[in-house]
Amino acid sequence: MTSLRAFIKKLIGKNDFITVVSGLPRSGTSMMMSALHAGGMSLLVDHVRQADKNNPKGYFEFEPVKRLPQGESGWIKDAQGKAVKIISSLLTFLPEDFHYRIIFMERDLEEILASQQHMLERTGKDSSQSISIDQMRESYREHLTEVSTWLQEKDWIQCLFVNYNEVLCEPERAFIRVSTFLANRVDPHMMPDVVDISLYREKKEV
Amino acid sequence: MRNNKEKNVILIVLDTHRYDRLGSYGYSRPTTPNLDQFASESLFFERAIAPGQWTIPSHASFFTGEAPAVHGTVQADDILPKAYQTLAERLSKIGVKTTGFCNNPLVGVVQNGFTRGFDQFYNYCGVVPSTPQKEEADFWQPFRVLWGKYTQILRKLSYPIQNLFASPNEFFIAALRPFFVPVWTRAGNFKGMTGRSIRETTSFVNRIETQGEGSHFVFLNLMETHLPYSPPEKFVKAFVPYFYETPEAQKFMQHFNRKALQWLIPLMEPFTELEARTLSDMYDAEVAYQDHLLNQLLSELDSSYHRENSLVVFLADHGEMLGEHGYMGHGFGVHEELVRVPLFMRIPGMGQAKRIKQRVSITQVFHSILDYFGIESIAMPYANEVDIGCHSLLRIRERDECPPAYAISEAYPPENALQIMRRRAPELIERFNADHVQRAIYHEDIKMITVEGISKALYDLASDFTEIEPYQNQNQMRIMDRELEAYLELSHSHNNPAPKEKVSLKDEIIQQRLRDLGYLE
Repeated sequence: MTSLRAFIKKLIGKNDFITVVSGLPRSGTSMMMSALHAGGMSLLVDHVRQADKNNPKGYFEFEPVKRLPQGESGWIKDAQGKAVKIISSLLTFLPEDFHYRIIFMERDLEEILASQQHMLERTGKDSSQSISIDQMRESYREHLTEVSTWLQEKDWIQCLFVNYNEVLCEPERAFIRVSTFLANRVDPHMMPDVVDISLYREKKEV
Repeated sequence: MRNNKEKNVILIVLDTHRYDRLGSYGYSRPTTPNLDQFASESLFFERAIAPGQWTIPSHASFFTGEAPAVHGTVQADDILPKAYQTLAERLSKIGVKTTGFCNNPLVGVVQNGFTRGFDQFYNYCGVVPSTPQKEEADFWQPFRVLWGKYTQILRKLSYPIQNLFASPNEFFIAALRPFFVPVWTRAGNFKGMTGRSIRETTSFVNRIETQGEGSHFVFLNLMETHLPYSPPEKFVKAFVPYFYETPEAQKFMQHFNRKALQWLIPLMEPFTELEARTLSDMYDAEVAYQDHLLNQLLSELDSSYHRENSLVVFLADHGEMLGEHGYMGHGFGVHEELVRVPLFMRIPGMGQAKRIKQRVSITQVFHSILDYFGIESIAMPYANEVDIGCHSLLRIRERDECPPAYAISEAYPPENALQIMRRRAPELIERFNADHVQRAIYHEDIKMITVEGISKALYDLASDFTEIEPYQNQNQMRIMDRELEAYLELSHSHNNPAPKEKVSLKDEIIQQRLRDLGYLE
């Protein structure tokens, strides 16, 4: 029945909005994707990058997203009515021909930097020698300010900022906000189960 | 009738129109009396050059003000990068209403980004055309709305299928078989509906005058002079008088109109005299028929409102080879028949008509239209040293001392035509160096044609406009070679720019980090 409805919607040309989960790497975007899936939303993922120690529950990524800067955006139309993960740096490459509802994950920058450093060490790509943590912090700060301004300027984008810690501490409340933002497309009561506070502790202790 | 400070631009693209078939460019046959009349009141460019040899690169250039080497949109399945804002996008941002009436499927149907920025875009080509709907509130109105919805659904379904035929794939190759050609040329409205699109553009232009509010940008693309040729009998009789009495000519035309493969690739054998004459004369008949249809629109544009408020620009995106130098169509080469194009414009309040001898590029039409609306445009990157004002053709008429901007043509081999040549006529690739980029650069009447990595030759167009005998002048060649190199270097340094809005990727530190984490390629 759902697929019939989707087919009819496609036929009559009623374009659905695209849910985008965004933020800096390690800001909780995978957790939010997982929660949306639990809440009943379809995801645009290809599982090319498999779950690993850095993300035991999976990355929920779609590889063509990484090629947005090269103009590869033909897949976007397939994301209508679904959720797709796009890191904040790539948001500005989204085509304007669609409507997006962006859930932008916010997390303490020190935690993000620590988590990223841990991930790099695990994958053997420690770049701390070439890029200092101060440089990285400063770059991210500037980037977040720029992206935030950009998001506010675009009338084809609606954005909800969700704090990672809020999701951990009060998941019910956070997911009700998310559900409202997504026009009740997800069931907020099914979403908190995906929040694994132990993973957070592990990352924070790094 | 209103007569105020509104500014409109009517841009009419005569797709595939050779410059040398217009009376105003010296043609002896009476093919274009209406356009000639208009041209006689215009700022007339005697030597306008198309930046590319066919629809895609050429439209991308005058829509963005960039050279093909910069925007990189040179193949049928290329998508114009969003980094380059189109004319319609730029104008839309300042509140100009933008409307397109298009007969070329490569501009309107194929989803390559050319329709970006248009408030309304009507496609007269394709399996399910989209044309303006009547707005009268009569008995049939609900049915018209329903019909509109129905065709909208069909269009949505048909566009992805039609897109398949733009790529170098099996669909494209199959479509070129003579059996299928009438299917997509007729049922698929390959050439659109010239008469109807002109009628409806005329009505629209009339509405701008009588009830339109604000400024308008109207784009019209006409495809009548594109193959296949099947002009009305009246025009055949006038321009191909022997046609109906010569069975060989009829048979040739009937076959040629089905041999779409031959429209795309160089000739395997030269045409016979009769074939060459028939093809050329049928082309003339199409030119004359289109000119006849344009009379309606030109009459409308003759009103005092449009004379005072509308910049009207006529240009061709490219010409057409009709067997010269062994070429047919507009896939390969940079010969004058292909890259020298008609360009003339009537500017509100321009006073006396003027003929400009200086060689210009139709890419500059982008800068000229922005200039007309008082919008700043960036200089073409390969002409950094030229006064930026000179990119606007509107200023050329005021400032004769303007140094010329580079007028350069580039012919990137269309991949779909190459693919089919590899299968059906591989020997032609070597014979015509068809898999190499060709370029043309000019110094007054000296033209240098280069085949990348293969050859270069000079031609003196003043004494040899057919480019038959190479002109020997090593010093001149060195100078032009250096200029071409500089142009390419500058173009490549400017292509694929990170636009201002792309905030984060400019930051190399973040880019490096994202790659390390596996979030970027």
